[in-house]
Amino acid sequence: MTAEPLLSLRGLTVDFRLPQGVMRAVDRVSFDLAPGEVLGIVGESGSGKSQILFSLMGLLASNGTVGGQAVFQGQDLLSLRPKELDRVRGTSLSMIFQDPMTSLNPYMRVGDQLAEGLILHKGLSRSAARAEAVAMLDRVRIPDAAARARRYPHEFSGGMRQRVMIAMALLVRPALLLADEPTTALDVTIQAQVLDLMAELAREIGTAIILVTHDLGVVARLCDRVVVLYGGRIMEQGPAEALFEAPAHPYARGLLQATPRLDEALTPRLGTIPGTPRSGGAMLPGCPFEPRCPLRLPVCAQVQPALTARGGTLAACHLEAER
Amino acid sequence: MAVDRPLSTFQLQLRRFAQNRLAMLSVFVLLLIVLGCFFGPYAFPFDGEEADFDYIGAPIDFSSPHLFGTDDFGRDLLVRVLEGGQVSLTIGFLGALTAGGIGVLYGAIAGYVGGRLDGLMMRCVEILYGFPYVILVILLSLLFGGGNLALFAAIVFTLWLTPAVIVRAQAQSLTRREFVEAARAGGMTGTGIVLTHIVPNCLSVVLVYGSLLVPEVILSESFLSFLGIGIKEPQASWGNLIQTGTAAMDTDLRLLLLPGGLLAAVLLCLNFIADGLRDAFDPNDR
Amino acid sequence: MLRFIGKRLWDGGLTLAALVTLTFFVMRLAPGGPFSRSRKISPEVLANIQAAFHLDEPVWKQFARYVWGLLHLDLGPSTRFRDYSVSDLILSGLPYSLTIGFWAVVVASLVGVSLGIIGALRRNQPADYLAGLIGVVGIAVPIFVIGPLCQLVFGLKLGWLPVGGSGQGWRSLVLPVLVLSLPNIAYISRLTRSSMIETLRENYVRTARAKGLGGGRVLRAHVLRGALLPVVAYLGPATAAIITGSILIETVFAVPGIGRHFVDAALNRDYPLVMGITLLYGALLIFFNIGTDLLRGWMDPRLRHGR
Repeated sequence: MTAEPLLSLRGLTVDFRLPQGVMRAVDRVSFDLAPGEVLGIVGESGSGKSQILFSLMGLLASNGTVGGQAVFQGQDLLSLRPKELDRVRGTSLSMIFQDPMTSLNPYMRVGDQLAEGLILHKGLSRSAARAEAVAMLDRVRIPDAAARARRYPHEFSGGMRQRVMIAMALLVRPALLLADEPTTALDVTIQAQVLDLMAELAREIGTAIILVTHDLGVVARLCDRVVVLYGGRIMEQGPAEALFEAPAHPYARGLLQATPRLDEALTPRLGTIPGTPRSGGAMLPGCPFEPRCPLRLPVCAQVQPALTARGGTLAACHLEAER
Repeated sequence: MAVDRPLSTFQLQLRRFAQNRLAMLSVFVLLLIVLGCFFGPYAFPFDGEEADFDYIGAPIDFSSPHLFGTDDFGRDLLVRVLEGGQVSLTIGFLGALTAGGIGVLYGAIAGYVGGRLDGLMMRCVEILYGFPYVILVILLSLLFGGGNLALFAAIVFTLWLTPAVIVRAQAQSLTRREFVEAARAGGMTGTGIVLTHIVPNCLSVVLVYGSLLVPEVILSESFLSFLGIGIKEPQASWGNLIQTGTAAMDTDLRLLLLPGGLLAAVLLCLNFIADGLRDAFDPNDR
Repeated sequence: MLRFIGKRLWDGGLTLAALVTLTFFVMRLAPGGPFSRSRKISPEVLANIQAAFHLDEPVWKQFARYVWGLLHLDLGPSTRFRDYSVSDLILSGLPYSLTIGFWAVVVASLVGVSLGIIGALRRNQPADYLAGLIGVVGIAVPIFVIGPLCQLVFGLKLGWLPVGGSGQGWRSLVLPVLVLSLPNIAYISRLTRSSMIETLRENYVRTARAKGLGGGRVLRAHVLRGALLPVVAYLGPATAAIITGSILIETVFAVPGIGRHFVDAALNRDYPLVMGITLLYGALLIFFNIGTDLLRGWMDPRLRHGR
């Protein structure tokens, strides 16, 4: 990290009030993001990765509370007043959601949905905003964009809708794009195509991306840096190359072994991580991965390990530190 | 959590219903009213059509034999209201049960058989749906010449449509399910499949909508009796008691308030119970 | 679009035809006749009157005669008010009924939708509970109980408004309209509240918020349309509810509208008048159902292309 970071998280914590008590979904997560950088956040479902994005956007469910700091372009997103947050969300921070089928308003023409942000935040006239919307739809390769802009979402396929979402998110030329598993709901055959399109456009505009996914293949292809999350805590983070080369944390290693690789097509069997993640793991005193860890030490259940440097990455594990 | 024996969905739903305090309170109040209406009159030495010439138009007086007084004919108001309740409640529950039953069978058959018969049957329902409901009830109760049975038939005839439509939709989706396929492959007859597989699996939907039917039937009955078309004097029903009460309300409000209040309480309870059932059986619909 | 309207009109016509047939034969099968209640009249006079109204003919012939008249827009003469035709009676009552019905729908929609929106936005706060209370009263207390009570309080005791009739202009309208709209306010507010809460949870509303549109604009541009669709769908059934209610309202408040005519006519076996009003109600219902469907199609593009 050389230049001033675009986004800097310090001790981000997300709690949910539930009937059974308070559940911690994200626990003291800190990382930096440089302008134009692509960061992948990987982890299993329930690891809190999506909640990080929602908390940045101010879109947590009503029973959620957020702590810590998230400094974006010099201001703390978490302490902005609603008006200021709307300003940021409309101009320099965008998000793409998981489910393109339900994320577009079914009662509104696609072009109008794209244009309304420009009219409100950039002060464009209706016709100018529409023209920009059409141009953007064209760039995400919607065929016959001018006519398509006058159509309603249900007349688009799933892949097209997600490309519309990408167009909508990038239309305001944001400095940062948050993408929450943007392709899980899509056909496998078009997932890569949509992701590549997103990354390519973001590069052209100079937009940084935080990509939340559980697909390590996607991370390897698109991301500069990776954060591995488990039970709401960062297990390991570092440059993608270094992490894929030599993962230091047992969980990161397990994840990599559970991913099929083309160049090792003949491995007899895909690795699995035994057990299932426990919800609320972030509330245990020790390492959240301890119950499933094949290499656990007695200390793991008591003391939460800190992130320390190993090789090219930072990992939170007692094991490596003792070695 | 200790897991002894997995509860069936139905048991879970009942448990969820039992946790709804408002609904349980309503069940309790409703039970009290029902018991009061059916057994209360036996506590008095006279019945509701007997005139007591010593007490004509008597006011509320808890020390007299007529606790809530009498009407202009010297008939005991409380007993009349309770007896009226018998009529209203019986018509309400029996009516909902019958209308629901007809609707379930009709809908289950249409949904299971499908094809042209289904089209024809639903077409009939659509046409009947286009009828102004009150008009039909009024006409039919006139045709049957008034009286409990006539009123009952008229109300049932107009209220079976909605359950039929709901059950048909349910039956249609059930018909495509594997266990129905299996039953058919196993040589079960159409009638058997409808009765053993389709109808029981529609029951929770029917329960939810049926519970909404009961207040509707009661309301229809009292509405007609109020207009003088349904249950007629001297037999008491909440509708005609309210009508009598309305005529005398500027001098004596109790004739209106007692039957009106009881009717409102019953409708309220039934609506809360219906809401509770819907929440318990249909968690998506909140 | 035109095909859709055409199909619905055709269906509506079928419904009306079925309605006419059913009503006609039910009336004739019912015991008693238009003149059976009158004071004792000599058999000769009765026969004369019967003949004048063609009641001596076989039923099928009477039916054919009626349908023939109907096709010429002739609803026939009233058997009770002998100097009036059914059309005269309907036209004399219709303005009262339409005025009350129209305002009741307006009041019910405006108040019901507002209460529902407030309830959904201020969930489990005093405003929500107040709206819920109004809903409970509207559903549990029938028109024919709350109507007389309002007459008693606002008419007799306080003397603010007339107890009934139609002689005092808008002042005579206030109570009937309010009482008639109450059950619909209750229903519409519950409907609005629950569909509003559901819509607020929709992913596309989250998208709108993510665009930084601000609460007010999210609500107006994105939430309301989806939330109001079920309410619009209820407008058809609401017409039926208003018709039902207006029969009671006109009886309770002594309004000389067609609802009251209808009850009188039914009790007195005024066959042609009953038929005429039944037809009118049926036609109104069909008309509003088609209107509702068109409005929904206009609001929801998915319905428009689905058909």
